Amino acid sequence: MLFNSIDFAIFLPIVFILYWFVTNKNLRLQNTFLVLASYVFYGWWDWRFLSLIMFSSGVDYWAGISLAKTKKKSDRKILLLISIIVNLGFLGFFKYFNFFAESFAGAFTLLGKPIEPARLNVILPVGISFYTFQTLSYSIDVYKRKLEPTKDIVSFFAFVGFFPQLVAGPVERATHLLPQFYTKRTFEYNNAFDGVKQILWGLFKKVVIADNCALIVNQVFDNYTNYSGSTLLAGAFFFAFQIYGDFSGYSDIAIGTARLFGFELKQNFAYPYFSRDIAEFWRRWHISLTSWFRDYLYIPLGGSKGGTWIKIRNTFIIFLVSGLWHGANWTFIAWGFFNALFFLPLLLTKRNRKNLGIVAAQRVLPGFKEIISMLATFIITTIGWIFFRAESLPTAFSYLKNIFTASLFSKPYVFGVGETKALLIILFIVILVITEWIGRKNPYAIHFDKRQNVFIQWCVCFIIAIAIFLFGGKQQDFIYFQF
Amino acid sequence: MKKFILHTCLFILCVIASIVIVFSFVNGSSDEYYLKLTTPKQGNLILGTSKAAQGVQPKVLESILNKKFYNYSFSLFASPYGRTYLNSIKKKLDTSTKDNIFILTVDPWSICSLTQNPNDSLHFREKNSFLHSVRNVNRKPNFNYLVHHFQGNYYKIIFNKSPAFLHNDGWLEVNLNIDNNEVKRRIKFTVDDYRKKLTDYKYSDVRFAYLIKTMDYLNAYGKVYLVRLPVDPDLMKVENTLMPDFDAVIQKAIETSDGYLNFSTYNSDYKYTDGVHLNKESGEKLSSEIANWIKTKE
Repeated sequence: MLFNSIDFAIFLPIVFILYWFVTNKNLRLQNTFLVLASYVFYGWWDWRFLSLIMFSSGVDYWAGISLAKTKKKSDRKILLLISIIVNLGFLGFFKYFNFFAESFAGAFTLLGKPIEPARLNVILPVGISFYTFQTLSYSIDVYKRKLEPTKDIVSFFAFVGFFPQLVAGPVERATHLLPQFYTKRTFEYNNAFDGVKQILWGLFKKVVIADNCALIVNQVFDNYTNYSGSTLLAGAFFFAFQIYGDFSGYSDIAIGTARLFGFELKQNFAYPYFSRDIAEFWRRWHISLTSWFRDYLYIPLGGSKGGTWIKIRNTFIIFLVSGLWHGANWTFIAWGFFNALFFLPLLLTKRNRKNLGIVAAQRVLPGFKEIISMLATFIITTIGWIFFRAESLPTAFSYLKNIFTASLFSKPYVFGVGETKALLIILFIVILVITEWIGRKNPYAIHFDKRQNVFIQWCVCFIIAIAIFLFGGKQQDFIYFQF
Repeated sequence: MKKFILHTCLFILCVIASIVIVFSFVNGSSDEYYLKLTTPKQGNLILGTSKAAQGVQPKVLESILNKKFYNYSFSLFASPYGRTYLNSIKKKLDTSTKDNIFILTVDPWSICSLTQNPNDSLHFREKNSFLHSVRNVNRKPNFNYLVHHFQGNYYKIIFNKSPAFLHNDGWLEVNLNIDNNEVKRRIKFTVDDYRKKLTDYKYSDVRFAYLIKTMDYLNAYGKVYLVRLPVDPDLMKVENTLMPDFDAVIQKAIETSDGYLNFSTYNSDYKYTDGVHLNKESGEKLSSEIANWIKTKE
């Protein structure tokens, strides 16, 4: 079920009413209801893949219980290994089998011994990369004794399948989300209203920004050989906002929806396009995944504590794996590599933690130096996005090459998109940037001060809702669903 | 909790009321298809894809043939010949009269498929179109269409600068910039685009069978004429690559019809907005030629 669909608009109030009015007397019943609702939400897409979530949840629940009972280190390791193999096994089978088989066969072809790769004709289960990482974090934390394993199977299944963040994150940690299922949730007006506002803001980013940008982006990237350098550059610019609106919009809707049910999810985006360097960007973009990789891959590998070569190795490993996590294509690996190239100098010169605070925190406007830093970071990430969006590596390089031609200085033109429409999309991007700049200290941009008049807040919500209705683009799937 | 639900319900009511108000302003410039799905059933129909939607003008036909025509053509995506289009025609046709005139426009694209197996009718492209999912094509307002299939953004209903205007008789008037260089650029883009389509489009026996079925169905309610509309000469080359012997391919349809008028040898006599669609003036000229030709057949 898509958040930006009529199905969800019907599903959400029904679940909300049943959750607070029918099942609220008994915590276990309420959690059981959440599991059922989450499975309906997921099964709406393809009910057959529910078995994967159930199996994955079952294995990790069992691994957790068994880890608690086992003292012997080698046995504990085996249990953790089983959890990792099952989870990554599913992920590898559904997501990476064809990629590795084809890459392997390609390598043989390069060596002059062509072989025909075996291919699997399977579809990728929606959200598999997200819930796999979420359950893995549970097993690893229990193994490391950072978390007491749960004996409450309903809470555990609800934690894995929790519908607001099941298919596209944020990737929650068991240490943060699981305990929320143990305690009774109480309804609070301000909290729920905050949820509504965040959902609307997320929908605005998705439907008005991302879906409209998609119109230009798809046309330009699908026919990039027909376009001038300036149009290709514009295409990359619009993609930067499409992917931001799409993914951060999803996260906002997820967090807002969870809030309606009395849950707190972690912030997943912290205004990444106001970052002053690429290291700051990665602390602000898809925070839940970046921190996952930091805690479960980068730090166990030694992090930035070793010598220069260790630092270089670890940086490339984390960025390449992060790229591969996004998709089974060399373009994503190249995207990771590209980001690593810009991150590494900051790490090696110990400037990677230079910009930790909010930009221009005590001022209304940024300084000149900050503007230049933010622009430079935005340009780097935008070039990186070309690899992310392109169908293949040669396409990405060709796209880049075609930007830097004499036509870079011509007027951009996109077939099928009128000037008015393009200007309107730019206007909405400007509104987004200004609103986010004003709200950059908040967990989301339109998080008002609690003292603000409630009526005025509802009026703002009304304006946003009407903007979504009037200016919403053609419904598109969320990009991150494919991951 | 009660306060929250009350506020939320009030908010939703205000939003829904605003939406209904906006919908009440829909007119011919808001959407290229909507009005076609809101009129009562019609008798004399012009059928085909966007070429016919823009190129054949009912009021010109009416002035010569003294019959009210309705242009029930849509697009290459929504209305190639097939079960979906036939079902929609059945819903739109006023079956109370038997002396109607039906103008079916044909070209290679409208009897081709994009599916790997060109006869895989379960996966024909129009299955994803509004014509397939909008059950009632004679209802006003048509909320199903407005909610699920409206073309583009709803703001167009209020602030419209679209070059297209859908008339009450179903003719889609398009007023694009007719600057020579601009037209050349559009034609080049369209020709390149159609050239790319060559690899995907394949002749479909099923589509052709549906063209015949459509004609057979309409034959019971009047006369059926086949017309191949003109296109820019460069695009004609692409069409000829796709189907060099088009007339031979549709021979059975020609025999089933009450007459076949082929404009493909007169491509240079007309002007186009983008290589595929006739401009307004050429459309008027072509419509009167079709009408006069039908007049000789009546």
